[in-house]
Amino acid sequence: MEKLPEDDFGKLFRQHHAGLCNLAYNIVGDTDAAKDIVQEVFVKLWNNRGQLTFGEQIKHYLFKATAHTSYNHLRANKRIAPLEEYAGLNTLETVVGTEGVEYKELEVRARQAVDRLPPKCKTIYILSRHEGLKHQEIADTLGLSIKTVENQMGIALEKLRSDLKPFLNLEIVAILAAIGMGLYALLIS
Amino acid sequence: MTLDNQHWERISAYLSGDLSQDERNAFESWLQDSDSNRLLFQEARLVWESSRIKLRVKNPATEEELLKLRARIKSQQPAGRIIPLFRNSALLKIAASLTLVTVAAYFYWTLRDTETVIASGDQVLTLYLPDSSRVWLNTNSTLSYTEDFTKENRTVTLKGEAYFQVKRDTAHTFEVVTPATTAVVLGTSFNVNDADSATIVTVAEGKVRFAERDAAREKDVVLTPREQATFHHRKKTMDRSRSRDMKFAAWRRYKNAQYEKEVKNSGLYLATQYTWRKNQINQSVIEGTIRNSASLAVYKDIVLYVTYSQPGGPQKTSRLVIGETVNPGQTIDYRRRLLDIFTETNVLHVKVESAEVETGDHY
Repeated sequence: MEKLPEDDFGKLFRQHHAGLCNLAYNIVGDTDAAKDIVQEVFVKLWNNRGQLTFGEQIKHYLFKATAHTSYNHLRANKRIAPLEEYAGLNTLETVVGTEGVEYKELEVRARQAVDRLPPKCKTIYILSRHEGLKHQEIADTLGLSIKTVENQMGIALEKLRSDLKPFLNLEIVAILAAIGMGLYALLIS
Repeated sequence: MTLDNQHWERISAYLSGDLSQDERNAFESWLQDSDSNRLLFQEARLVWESSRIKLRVKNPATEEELLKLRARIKSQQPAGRIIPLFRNSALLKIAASLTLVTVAAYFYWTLRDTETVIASGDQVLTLYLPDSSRVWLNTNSTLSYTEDFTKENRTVTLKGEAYFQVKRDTAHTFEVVTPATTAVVLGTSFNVNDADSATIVTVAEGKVRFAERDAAREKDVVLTPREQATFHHRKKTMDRSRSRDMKFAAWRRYKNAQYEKEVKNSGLYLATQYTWRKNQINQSVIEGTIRNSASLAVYKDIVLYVTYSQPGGPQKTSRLVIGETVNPGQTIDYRRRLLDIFTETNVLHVKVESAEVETGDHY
């Protein structure tokens, strides 16, 4: 067990704060709540500093604690989700504007659809899709069985598909049109 | 569980890379079974690939959050630890426990709880209480609260002067105790000045119930915004008057290092979020919000620095001035047009370049 002086604690906070805020924000969809969640995580870390080993694992610990706390927050506050949906889209458009990155309409719609998923589904899907966690790791992080994770991943994907159905068709029509154009070009040449 | 649902589980596990080699082979042969299986998978893959957008917190304000965290940790620190000194002697053990009981009893009766004391010295302090209420503590003043601050009523003890911006919490009333008076609120902003001969309470927002300490309830006065009550310690009388402006809270700007930082680096405390598009006559229309995250500084005449360019073209710049006044914690909307009708703008950035600090006593 290593001691954790206050200076190192500040350093640790500075190093991970923004990243953890982003993780929490993607799950709960509310900036202030995300910051509060990260505060909680660090207060807990400070209180348990006697029992923890500080090294590479601390990053892992912080990630897990933030994901779990965000999940609990989302479950406890489902009713406010519709309000934040709008805010989420706002930020998204900002990202599009500032970064000069072009997101396709389908991607923006997909993000909104992810935000509409039920809490458990949403958290699991984000951890898998965005954070690249394996099913077992998600189960460990959220304290769920692996069976639940597999099942919820299926439900998430199914819901997203049916939610995005109208836009998927457009995409597929576009692909077909491209193929058609190609064939046409072949025919006339 | 339906067969259909199992398909979805397998498709998602395939996409996220959670299938073993054998399972993958089985899945791929399932795909070969029918066109409808393949179409289902194509759609699922399109959904999976399209859901890559990660949102980012615009302004994580890491330094501000670290200050908050440190204040929180400090407020919950226990007084100290008991270290076993006498391991071997039974007699010493008895003696030690007797001493311990005596000392513990002494501390129990005198202190009850660990007390956090904050003394300002010659600088104005800006601090957060454990419930996220914000306090400005004037020079040479002391603020203290006990460990059970958030458990029942939120009680702080004040000597000197402080301005409170109380986080609303109807379940826990917020109470400021001075040697002679108490002021009780739910969630408001107000100033308490405990001088030698009188205690003066002035309200900026909301309502405050102010009374002589331990006096009968009927003697309370309820103050509304811009009202001021003075309790004279010797005469034990209460005067009421009106404050025409926010001058009573102006002391917060002097000898305040945090405020000086906000005056010098306005860009650090102003953040903008925006979207832009071309309108029918090909001007770029920028719509956005500006948020002031400073503790005290009121900004106006905010200069936005816009850079934009068309594909392969040179970078052009433009400055937009937003004349509106933005109070701390406030967010304003703006909408401006660029004169770029001959430019096929495809990249556009906006950042806050500078701002004037409003020096009046409005806030």
